[in-house]
Amino acid sequence: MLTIKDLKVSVEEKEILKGLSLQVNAGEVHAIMGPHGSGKSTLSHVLAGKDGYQVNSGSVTYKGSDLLELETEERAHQGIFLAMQYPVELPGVNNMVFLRESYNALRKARGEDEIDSPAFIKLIREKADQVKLPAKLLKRSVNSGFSGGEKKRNEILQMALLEPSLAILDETDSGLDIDALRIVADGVNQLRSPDRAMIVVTHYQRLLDYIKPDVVHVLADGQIIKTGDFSLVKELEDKGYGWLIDEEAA
Amino acid sequence: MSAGQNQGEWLEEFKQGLNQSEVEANSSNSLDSLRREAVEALMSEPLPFRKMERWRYTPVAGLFKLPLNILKNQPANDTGYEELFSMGLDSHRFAVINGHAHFLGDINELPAGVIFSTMHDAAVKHEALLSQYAGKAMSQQGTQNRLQASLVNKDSKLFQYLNQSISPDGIFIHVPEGIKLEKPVEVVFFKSGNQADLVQTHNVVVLEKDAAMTLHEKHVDEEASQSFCNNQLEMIIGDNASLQHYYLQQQGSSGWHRQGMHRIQAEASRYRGWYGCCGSQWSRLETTVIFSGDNAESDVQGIQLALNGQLSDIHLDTRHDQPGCHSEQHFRGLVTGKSKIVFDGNITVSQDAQKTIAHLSDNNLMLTRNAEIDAKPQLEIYADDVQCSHGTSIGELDEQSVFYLRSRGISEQQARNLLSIGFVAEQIDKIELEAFRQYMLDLLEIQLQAAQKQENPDDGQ
Repeated sequence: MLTIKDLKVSVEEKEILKGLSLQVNAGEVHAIMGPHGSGKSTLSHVLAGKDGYQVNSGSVTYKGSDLLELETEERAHQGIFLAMQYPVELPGVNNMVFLRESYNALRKARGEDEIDSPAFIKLIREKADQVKLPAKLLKRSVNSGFSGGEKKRNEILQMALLEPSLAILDETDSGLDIDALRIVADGVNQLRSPDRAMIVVTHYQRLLDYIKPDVVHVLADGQIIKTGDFSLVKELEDKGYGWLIDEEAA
Repeated sequence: MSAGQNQGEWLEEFKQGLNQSEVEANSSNSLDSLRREAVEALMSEPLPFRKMERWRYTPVAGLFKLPLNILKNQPANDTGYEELFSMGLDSHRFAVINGHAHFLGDINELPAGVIFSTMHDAAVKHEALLSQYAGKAMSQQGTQNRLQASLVNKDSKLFQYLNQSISPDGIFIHVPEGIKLEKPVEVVFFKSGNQADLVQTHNVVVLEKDAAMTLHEKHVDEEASQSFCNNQLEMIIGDNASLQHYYLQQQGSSGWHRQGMHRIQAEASRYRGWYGCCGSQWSRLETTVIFSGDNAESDVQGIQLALNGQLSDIHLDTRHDQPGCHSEQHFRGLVTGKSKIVFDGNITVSQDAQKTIAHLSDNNLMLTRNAEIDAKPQLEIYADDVQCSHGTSIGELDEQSVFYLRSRGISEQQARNLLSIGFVAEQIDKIELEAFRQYMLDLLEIQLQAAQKQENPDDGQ
C-alpha cells in the first residue's frame, strides 16, 4: 500500500529525514517509535502533504502512484488520514458542519452523492457514541475549548467517519489519561481490516500494549534503525532507546 | 427633471430648491425649527474631505458626483410590501418605501397608548410629543440648536443638515411608561427601481420609563441603482427602559448608504444592539451615545463586511458623562478583494463619570493583500476610578487551520471559506433572535461566494 524509499526531507535547510525507507502492506498496523526529535512528526506531515517540508530525494509510492505529487486534499480523497498530535481549534466552525463537509468532500471525490443532513446526523451520532465523544461536542466549534482528551477523541471520530485506507496517528496518545488511551486504542482496533493499513507514531509503549502492532520500527536521527515485531516494544520499555542508538553508532 | 445631466451638482441644485421652498419662518412646530436650523446651516457647511480627521480614510468625493435625482421621490406601488419581510418574524411591521413610511398593521391591536406612526403623520397628530423628542437624541440641548450641538461628525455635519433640511418622513414610535411590547417591531427600508435617487428618512423611537421593545431594521433595495440613502434614527430610552435593536444594511453593490444613529439613555436603561454592515458600495454608519442618567447599560456588537470593492465605514462615539454606566462595543470585520474597512471607535469618559466600565474591540480578518483596513480606537478618560479597555487587530487566516481542513479532504477554497465564515459567525452567534441569526449566517455565505465568483470568474464548480 505504501512504499517509502530512501526519503530525505529538510525543514528550513536542516535535514530531518536522512534516507528513510518503509514498506507498509494492507491489513498491517505499524508502530514507529523513537526519541524526541528523531523525525517522527516530519514523516507524518510529509505523508499528509503539509507545506514547509522540502523533499530532497527518495520516493513515496501509495497505491501504485507517486504520493508526493498530490495536494493535501487529494491525498485525503485517496484514503490517507492523519490524526494530528495537536488538533487545531477552529472557533466559529461548527463541528457537525465540518464533519459533514469533510465526509461529503470524500464522497464527491469518489463520484458518490452527498449525504443529506438527517442521514448524516444519524450516522455521526452512532460514530460519536462508538468513540465515546459526548454528543454536545458535535454542536460546538471544532475543538474549541475541548480538553486534550476530547480533541483526540474528535480525531478518532473523524477517522471512524472517513474510514481511511491508510491512517497515520501522530502521537495521538500524548497527554492522555488511561481511559482516553483506551478509547484511542479501541478506535484503532475497531478499524483494523484486511484492506486498511495504519501507522501509529508514538514515543511511549503504553498505547501499543492495547494495539499490539504487527510491525515495530525505531526511528532515530531521520532513519529507521531497527525493525521487529511486538517484542521490540518490550525490549524498548526495558532498555530505552540508548542501546539501539549506541549500536547504530558502533 | 434634469438631474441626470447635472453630474456633480445635485447638492447645489438641492440647496437652490431649499431657498425657494417655504419654511414657515415663525412656526413654533419643533420639526420646523429643526428644519430651519438645518436649512440655514447647510448653506455654509463645508463638504467633507480628506483633511478632516473623521474623513481621513473615507473617500467621499464620488458621492457628490452621482447623477442623483433630488426631486421628490415617487412613492412605490402600494402592494407587495409583505415580500420584504422575508425573515418570517411574528412582528409589528413598517415598510419605508423610497422614503415614505407605512405601518402595515392595525393600530387598534396595539397596547393602549402606544403610538406607531409615520413622521409626517406624527407632525400633525402628535405635534407636542414629537417636539419634545425630535432631535433630542442627537444632543442634550433644549429645542434650540439641537443639530449644531450634536456629537456626530464634528468635522462636517453636512449629511445631518441635508437630512433635516427637508423634514423627511420615517417612523415614529412612542411606547408609554411601563409597557413592554411582546412582538418585535420590524422596519424594512426599501429603495425600489433603478433610478438614482436621493432617499432620506428621519426616524424617532421613544421608550418611556420601564418600557421595553425590540426593533429590527433592515435596509434593502430592488436592483442596481446608484442611489444615496441618508437616514437618521433617534432612540430615546427612558429610566429603566430596555431596547433591543438589530440593524442590517444589505443594499445592493451599487448603492450608497449613510445612517446616523443617535441614542440617549436615562438612568438604569438598557440597550442591546447588533449591527450588520454588509451592503452598498459605500456605506457609513455614525453612531452617538449619550447617557443622561447613571447606571445605564449599552452593549453593541456587530460585523463589517467589505467584499466586492466595497467601502464599509463605522464611527462610534460613546460619551460617558454620568457615573456607573457600562458600555460594550465589539466588532469584527472581514475584507477581501480591493475592498476597504474603516473603523473609528471613540469612548469619552468625563471627570464625573466615576465607576464607568467601557470596553471596545475591533478584530479584522483580511483575506487578500490588496484589501485595506483602517482601524482607529480611541479612549479619552478624565475620571480616575474606571475600567476601560480598547484594542484592534488585523490578521490573516491561520495556515495550520487551512491545512487541518484540507487534510480532511476539504478543498483549499472551501477551507478558507469555512474559516472566514467561522471568524464572523462567532459574532453572529451573539444574535438572540434565532430567525435573524440563521438569516445572517446564510447571508454571509451567499455574499462570500458571490465575492469569490467576482474575484475568480474562471474557477469552475
